[in-house]
Amino acid sequence: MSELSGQVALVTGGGRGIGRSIAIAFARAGADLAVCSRTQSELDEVAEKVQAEGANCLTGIVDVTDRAAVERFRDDLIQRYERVDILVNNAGGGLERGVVAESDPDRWRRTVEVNLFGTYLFSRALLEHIPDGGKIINVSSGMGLKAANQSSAYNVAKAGVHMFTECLANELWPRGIDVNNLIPGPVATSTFNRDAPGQRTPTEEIITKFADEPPPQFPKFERVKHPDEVGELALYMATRPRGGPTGQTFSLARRPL
Amino acid sequence: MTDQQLAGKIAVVTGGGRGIGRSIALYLAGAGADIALCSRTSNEIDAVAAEIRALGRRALALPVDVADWAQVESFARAVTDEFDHIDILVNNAGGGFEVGPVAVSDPAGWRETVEINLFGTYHMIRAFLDDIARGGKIINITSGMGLEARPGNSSYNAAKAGAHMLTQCLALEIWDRGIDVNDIIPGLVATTNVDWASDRSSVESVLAEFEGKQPPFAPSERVKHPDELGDLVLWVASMPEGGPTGQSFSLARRPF
Amino acid sequence: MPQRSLDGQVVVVTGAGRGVGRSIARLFAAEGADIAICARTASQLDPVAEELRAGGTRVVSRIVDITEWDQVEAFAAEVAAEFDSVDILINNAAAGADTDPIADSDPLAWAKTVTTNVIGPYFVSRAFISHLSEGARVVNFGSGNGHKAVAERSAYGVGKAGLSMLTKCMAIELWDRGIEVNEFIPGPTATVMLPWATHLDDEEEIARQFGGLPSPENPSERAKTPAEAAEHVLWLATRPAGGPTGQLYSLMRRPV
Repeated sequence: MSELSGQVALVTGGGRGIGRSIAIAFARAGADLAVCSRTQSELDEVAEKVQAEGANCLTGIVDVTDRAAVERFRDDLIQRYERVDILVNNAGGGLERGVVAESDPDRWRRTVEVNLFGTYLFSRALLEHIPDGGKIINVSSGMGLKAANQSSAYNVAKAGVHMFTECLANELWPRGIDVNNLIPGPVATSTFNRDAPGQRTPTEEIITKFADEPPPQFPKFERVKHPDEVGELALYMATRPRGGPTGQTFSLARRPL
Repeated sequence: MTDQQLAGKIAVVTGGGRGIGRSIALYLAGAGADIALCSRTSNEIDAVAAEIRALGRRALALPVDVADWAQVESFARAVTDEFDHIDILVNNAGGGFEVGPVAVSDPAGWRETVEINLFGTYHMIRAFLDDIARGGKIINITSGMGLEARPGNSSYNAAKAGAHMLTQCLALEIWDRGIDVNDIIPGLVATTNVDWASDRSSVESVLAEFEGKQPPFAPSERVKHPDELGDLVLWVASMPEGGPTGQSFSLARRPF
Repeated sequence: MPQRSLDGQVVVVTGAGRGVGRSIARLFAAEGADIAICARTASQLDPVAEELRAGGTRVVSRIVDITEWDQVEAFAAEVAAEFDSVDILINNAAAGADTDPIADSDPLAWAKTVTTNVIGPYFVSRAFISHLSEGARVVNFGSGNGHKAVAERSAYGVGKAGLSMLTKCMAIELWDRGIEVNEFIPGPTATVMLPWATHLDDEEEIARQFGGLPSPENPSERAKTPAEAAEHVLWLATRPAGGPTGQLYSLMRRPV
């Protein structure tokens, strides 16, 4: 369990759900962490869990769409750790739901900004500090590959992220930096459960709720999983040797995409 | 099919001042449609509007930054004040404003490419959706770059991938209103916007540069005149209600 | 007399005894082409050949199982003896959709469906390839099932997925002979291949009962007439030189 010892990983949106699970899984494997999100209490809880694994944890409140804020966090990270080996662009989610005809343009735009610009800005800001052999993991979605009919902002944002991963892979392979998409499929998180702002339904409760059947937009053979399973997949991706897969997609979905 | 198959129809063409947008506007007008055009500045669209009127059609031309929701909303109001409703919306405004690898990219330019190509398309759809008549058509000019990643133009790739996805989502949402939504993949077109020509002062100069010469992207590709897009968009815009929706119509000459 | 769009051209259509194949043969003949048709069933193919000849068209007609290389080669030889070269090749013949899950499937029937739908078009293309004129057009009939998995339709999907890839490979190999190769997806069509009309075998009856109506599986889809599909194939087969190649042209009403 020391495959990442000596390495530094940054996880955006790491305060809860998938990001939190990834951060803790990486800490267990020996990495030091930098975690950002928008909620201090969540960051404090994750930092505790990371430190309990014997790892260091730098936290920061960052709006991933704010270039200056992203660059400030990058500066803090470099001052603390000097480099970053693994960048996990996880911050995201579907803020605007419903049909285009009734959508709120500001929320539609914001959904794309958080998922796509956030991924781009962090990649842009950290790139020169990622060494040969480094990894970039972007959390994509089945929704980025196949259109649905009440979530265009999220579909579009994830399509953009998915494409961005492939472009970046095409650009960075000569530097030995591998860039891949991670598709979690449905995961028992607050975001997935459409919790109201501030509400945090416990993971186990969400899993129980969907134990017999996933929500109707998924076929019956999909499974709403624990976010720790995504942490395990991210760890697998982060520990591929140099010259491993790049520009590829690793998915826990249970339906063809 | 008569050659005035769009008689009585109203079409909106964004980025209609030159290149592909101008060709589309003129082909639709040539088939009988009245046209509302926009682009960021007035000179070029005013000239195209004059060409449309010379064909005997009505034209409304207004400057609009498609990335600005308030401006798009005003534009939609002005168009519906003039024409009452629209039948065809062609989201053509676009282009690449940040070219180069991510590692040295300008975040502002990267963002702008997404703003214009993706948010611009969404804004126009959102602003006009209530006023598109049954049997209407929404046609988004996307790109092979939205289907296939390359190094060195990620903002454009990501924006066009998003616009391609938006086309499909919208098709799934409004088919039961009898409005069909498709996208167009132009392939290589000689316009003054392209970044792969050394002399892009005019459509003709770009065509001349690649006459008998290896085109970029793939040896099978061909640099075409924007009028070929006018022709294709006219074809798609003239399909009957219940025709293809959520599809892509492509003039590219390489598989994706 | 106005020139018809296919005057002097030679067109090969497989599976021309019924459905879209027959409609294509009729339409292209009406546009002035010389026609070579094949199918497996004389009682279906012979009347079509007679009908076209009665209209003044030159016709080569042969019973061919496209999964038998010798028969395909003999067909190509007969066409070459009668006509100098082939200008348009329509790979339409196909085996219909299966309905069993893999676990219950008849292995030989499954293999036969796949063979018919991908090896068949390959054999036909292979046999005619040296007879294709410079600037010829090839249209291969695909399906949404070849792009997205559908349960209990695996043989059909696998064959059509293979054909989609074959199309792209042919496109990138033949472009420098000016030969353009594209995939065409008609979407649900009121013929004996209509998946929700398999209990009927009379095409006129199917058109009467299901033509224009939505699909019970996908409400945005509607069953079109084979004649309507043929019109689109004509458009695709008559694109000017340097037109789309390696592309997909689809009439579906949901994203592919």
